[in-house]
Amino acid sequence: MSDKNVMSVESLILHYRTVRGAVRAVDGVSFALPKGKTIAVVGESGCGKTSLASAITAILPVNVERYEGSVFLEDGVDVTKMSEDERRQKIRWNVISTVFQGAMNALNPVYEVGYQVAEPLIVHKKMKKEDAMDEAKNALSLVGLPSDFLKRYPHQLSGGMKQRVMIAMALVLRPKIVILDEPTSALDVITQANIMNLLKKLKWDLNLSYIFITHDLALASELADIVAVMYAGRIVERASSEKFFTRPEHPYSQKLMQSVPTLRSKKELEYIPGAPPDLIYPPPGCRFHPRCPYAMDVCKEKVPELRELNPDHVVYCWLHQ
Amino acid sequence: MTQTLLKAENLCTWFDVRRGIFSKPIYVKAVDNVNFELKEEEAISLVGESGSGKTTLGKTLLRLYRPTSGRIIYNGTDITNVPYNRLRWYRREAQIIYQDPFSSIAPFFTIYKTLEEPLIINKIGDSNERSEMIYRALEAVKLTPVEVFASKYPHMLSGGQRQRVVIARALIMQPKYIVADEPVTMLDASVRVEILYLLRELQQKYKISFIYITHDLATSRYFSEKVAIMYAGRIVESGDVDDVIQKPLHPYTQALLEGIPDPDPENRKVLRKVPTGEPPSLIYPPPGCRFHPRCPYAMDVCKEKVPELRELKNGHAAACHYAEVFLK
Repeated sequence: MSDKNVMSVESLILHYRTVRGAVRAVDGVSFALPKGKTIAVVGESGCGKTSLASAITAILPVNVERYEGSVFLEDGVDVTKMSEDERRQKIRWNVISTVFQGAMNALNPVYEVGYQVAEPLIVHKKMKKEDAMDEAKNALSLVGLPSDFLKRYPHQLSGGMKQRVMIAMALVLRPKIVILDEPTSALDVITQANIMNLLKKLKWDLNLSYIFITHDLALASELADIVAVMYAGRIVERASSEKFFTRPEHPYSQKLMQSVPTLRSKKELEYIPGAPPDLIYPPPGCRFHPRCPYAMDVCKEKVPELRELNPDHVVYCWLHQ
Repeated sequence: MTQTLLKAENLCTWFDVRRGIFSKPIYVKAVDNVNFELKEEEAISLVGESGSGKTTLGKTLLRLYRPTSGRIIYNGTDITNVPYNRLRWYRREAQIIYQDPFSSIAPFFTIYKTLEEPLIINKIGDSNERSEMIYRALEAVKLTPVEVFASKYPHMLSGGQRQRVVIARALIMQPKYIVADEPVTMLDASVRVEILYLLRELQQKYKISFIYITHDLATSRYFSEKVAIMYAGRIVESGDVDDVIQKPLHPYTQALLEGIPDPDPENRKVLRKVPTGEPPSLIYPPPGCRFHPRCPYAMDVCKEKVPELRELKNGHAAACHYAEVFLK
């Protein structure tokens, strides 16, 4: 593991138990996150990207069938091997924090937002309430909210303001890594652009590393230094932003790019026939082969291995073996 | 071809939010003084952020709401104040497609029954004719083999397939126009394009007019020739999609365009020049131009005088006192 990486995820697996069988939501995902950089995990709904976020922080539901692999941090500790108490005290919020999807539902409606931002400090750092509230005030000003917002309740805020509060909350313990799970999915275009501006500034000023989970490729390019495309529980391509947005190599990434409507240039849009596979019985071989226009016999039988096209571009596809 | 199908004049839809019977009435001015025209066989996108009044305008045009003032003229007939029980003919000619295909179809009906329902209610055909119409509609939306899909229940279908059922249900009445309210927002990127192209194909094949309501300016250009941008209950700009995207004449449209990224690795290195702040309250909208508190170019006149939507060039209209400046 290189010492520049703040996190390195290795062969992470998370399967859920259901009556029909195991859902292979995350099925062997590996990537490294360099310090101060952003990796965007891009994929359609049901590809396992949110499950990947819960697997990284080990916030797991009760019906876990299988949870394996490693999440190494900078100092070499493996988050997956820690006890739950240790993770809660040392990792979550302190080192890795999460901005969850749908800010409007993530805040507690009966507490003032100031207290909600201060709460991790009181719980984790055993701070006195007054000191914690001071810190909360700083965190709010960091995200561009004036200090009188401390006393407000969530219903008095707009969607964009609530999302800012969620970001303040995630930053209050000064973590190194922030997982952003669709942070702007319920927001309007201009509000979304403002939140993205804020996230960029925070990244530059605080040298934060983000794991940015989104279904929107155009939005991913707003933050991503590295893009990882997920399909049916696996990463199919991982590349630097420059390489990925100019020349994606996996057929799924190519199709996905061609389905993005653009404003500044007009192109023919394409769609991917068929639907993503059932994660209980995923197709053998490459999971994309039933929808892939280039599928060969080998794709139906053998899982494609990692192929390094160059140091910052890897793809899992038999076309490139 | 250029016949006007639907026209709205100075249309207002205000919602009464008065709390007690003796308190002064307070209104949410969801749609405020809108002029709108839809021609036969034409597709118009209605673009705006949440709370801009775009859905209210669509539903008022469908007469699902009764307008507070103004007029709606459909095919030469004034339908502004026709009571709901005498609008059944209009319900056949104007249809709606909702955003969420997971809540807009009855879960305990088969697809066949879902599509048969409107035919029965409107007393169309006998059961043989109806089944032929149902299979034809399913074929039009490419849910084949039709017999298989007709006997399924909604939970057996994916989001894209459900939305096709909703489209088939709108088509089966052979409407003159359809209001599609964010029909692809809930769908995945790859499916979104498929549904958008299907709608486009049906629009051209059956010569149906469309009002496509969306918050996404980028998809609007793939669906319609014309676009109207709404902000705080008013149309602020309208015209051909390409004109509006290439040369936006209203500062709000400019901000909206600036806010939408295209996939580009350079994006992460720069900040977007978008206005801060939030859209105004529709109960107490700001005087003058409603965008003036957020507008980077606002002058004194913007705070006092309401800008009219006026045509500046080849059907390209904007409601801004300084639109001429942007035209250059």
